[in-house]
Amino acid sequence: MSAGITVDLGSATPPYEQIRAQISSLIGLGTLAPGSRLPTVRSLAADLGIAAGTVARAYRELEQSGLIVTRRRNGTVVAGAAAARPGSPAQETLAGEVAAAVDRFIAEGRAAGFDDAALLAILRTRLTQQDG
Amino acid sequence: MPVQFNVPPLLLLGPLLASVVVYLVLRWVIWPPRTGTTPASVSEHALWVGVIGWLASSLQGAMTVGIIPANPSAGGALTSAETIAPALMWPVLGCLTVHALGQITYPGPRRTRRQALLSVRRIRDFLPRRLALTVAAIFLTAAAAIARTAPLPGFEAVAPTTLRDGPNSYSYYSGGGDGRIPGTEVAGWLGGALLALAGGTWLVLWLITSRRQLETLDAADNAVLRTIAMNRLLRTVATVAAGLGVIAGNFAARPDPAHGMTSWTNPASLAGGAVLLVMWWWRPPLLAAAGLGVRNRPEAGIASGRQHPAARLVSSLGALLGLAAAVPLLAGAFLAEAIAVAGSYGLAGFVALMAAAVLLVITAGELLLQRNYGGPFAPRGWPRQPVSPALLTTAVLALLVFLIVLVVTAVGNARLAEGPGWVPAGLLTAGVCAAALPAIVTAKRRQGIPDAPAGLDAALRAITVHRVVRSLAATLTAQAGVLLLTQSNAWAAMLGRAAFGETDPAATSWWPAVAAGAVLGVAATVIAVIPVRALARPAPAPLPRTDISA
Repeated sequence: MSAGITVDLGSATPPYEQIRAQISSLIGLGTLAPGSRLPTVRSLAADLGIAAGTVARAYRELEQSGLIVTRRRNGTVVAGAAAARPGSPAQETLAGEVAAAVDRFIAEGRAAGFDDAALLAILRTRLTQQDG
Repeated sequence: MPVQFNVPPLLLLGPLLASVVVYLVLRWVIWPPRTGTTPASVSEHALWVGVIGWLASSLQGAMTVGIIPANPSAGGALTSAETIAPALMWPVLGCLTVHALGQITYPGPRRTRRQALLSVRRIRDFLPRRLALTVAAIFLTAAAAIARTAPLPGFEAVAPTTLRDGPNSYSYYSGGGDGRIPGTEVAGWLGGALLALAGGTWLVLWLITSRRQLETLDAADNAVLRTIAMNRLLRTVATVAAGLGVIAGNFAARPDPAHGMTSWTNPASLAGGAVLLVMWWWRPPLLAAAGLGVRNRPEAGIASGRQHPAARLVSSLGALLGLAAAVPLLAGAFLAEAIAVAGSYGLAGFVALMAAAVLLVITAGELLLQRNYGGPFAPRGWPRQPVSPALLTTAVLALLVFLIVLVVTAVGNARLAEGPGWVPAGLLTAGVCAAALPAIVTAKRRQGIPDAPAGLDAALRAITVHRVVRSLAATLTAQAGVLLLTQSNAWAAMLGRAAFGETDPAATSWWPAVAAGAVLGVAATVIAVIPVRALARPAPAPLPRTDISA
């Protein structure tokens, strides 16, 4: 299965952060399995129509957080260690449940008439409240 | 000791200008004004890349590589690095460059929300395997044919001679025989060209794989479009590789005239012809795009079972137009000598006759349409866009090319202080343009069709205008080709006979102009058969997802 990402140039969130956050969550949910190869910086930048430096920054931050590694022969791949946590059967079930809950949140939010920005704002607010 | 190369300035400038023109044309096709990039324009773009790439791949000018002509005054000998390199470089690099430009001309994303797949694209994901294996076999066979020429020895040409048996007796004419250069040299050149072709093909395959996603297509169609591009590239390079094998066979088959043998056959040419046919019929996969203005889709009301009789008439005219062009063509085959004797008027008049016959049929068709189905009080519909942007661009480019060729030829004729060889083509082309006026005026002013479905009347007029513009574009291109073929010395006088490596001062023609003329002739043929597009669309009801050939 090929995972996809979306970059909204009209969003207040910088493009590199959007890329970083989406790849990070795809790894966390197990959609991107350990060892999965990611496209090169130039290729992803060309597909998204953004500067290569933007994608490079997102990849650099993902690398610093240990989610991906860059190898000379294999290019950029999802790190085995980071994915080991969601790799176990229990964790995979948990990731599936989280993904299903997110899907329900999106479906019910859209049914209630909220747009994407509003849904993101709700999620951000709830996260902030829980952290606080 | 340093080796010096004398590179003529036009050797680099010509390809550069040609690349710029091809880039602009392809960019225009993929990203036409007003409509922007659509699945339909993507489909047209893929087709044009294939057609232009195929036109650029002609090895016709390199068929006699390594052959020393028996008659030294014939000119055009491809026996030295200065002449062999450009003759092989043009088709090999030309077709690869066109396909590479095709990938570069795809526009980047324009929307605010942009999507990308987090997957690595590899050549093998999109490569049509059966075709790739076939092409690899053709490359290997061509390589074997080229390797076979390496040990062959060279021999001198025998010049034609006339022997007289006394002052008042019979004379005998000996046509002599062609010679050839050593086989190692030819194998080196052809092998180098084949290697360059193979390496360049791999690079373009990589470019096709790594080019950006088109946001107007979904992921599946993007993948299919890459396979379509690979299909067109592989089919073209297969014909070029086979052509290199034919050249090698041509070289190997030549007998030594010193041994008294002059006749020869080249079995590799049969294999080359077979490859050409197979590649011609090896269709690309289908690009699916919902709600597409499908290329070649029959016009609304024309191909359906319950079509309007007026639409049936216009549809049947298509076959008649082909016949109108074919009759002069067949007559020309029998009158080839007369055409040659007629000099400048011969070929130009022949092309003009074909165009005039086609335009006459178009005009007659409109008049017949009015007589049979027209009504004085029926509203006259006129299409919003009678000519597609691609055809209009083609016509404008054809006009520009013709005018440039005409002016350069006229100046070249004047510089050589020879007769105005440009006048017949100029006058006859003007005549054809004048003959197009009645067809356009009739299409514009004929009565409407009272009981036709909405939009059909305008669509039928659009088809007529399309046919007229297509005929004019083909005529202009063909006449430009005729000028280049028949007045090549005028071009040599303008650009310098040595500009493309020609070194024979006694040559009766200038091969770069002749080659360009031949390419324009092929281009004119292609333009002449551009199909009528979907001009009459039904009401904008949602169309089912339809498979089309790109």
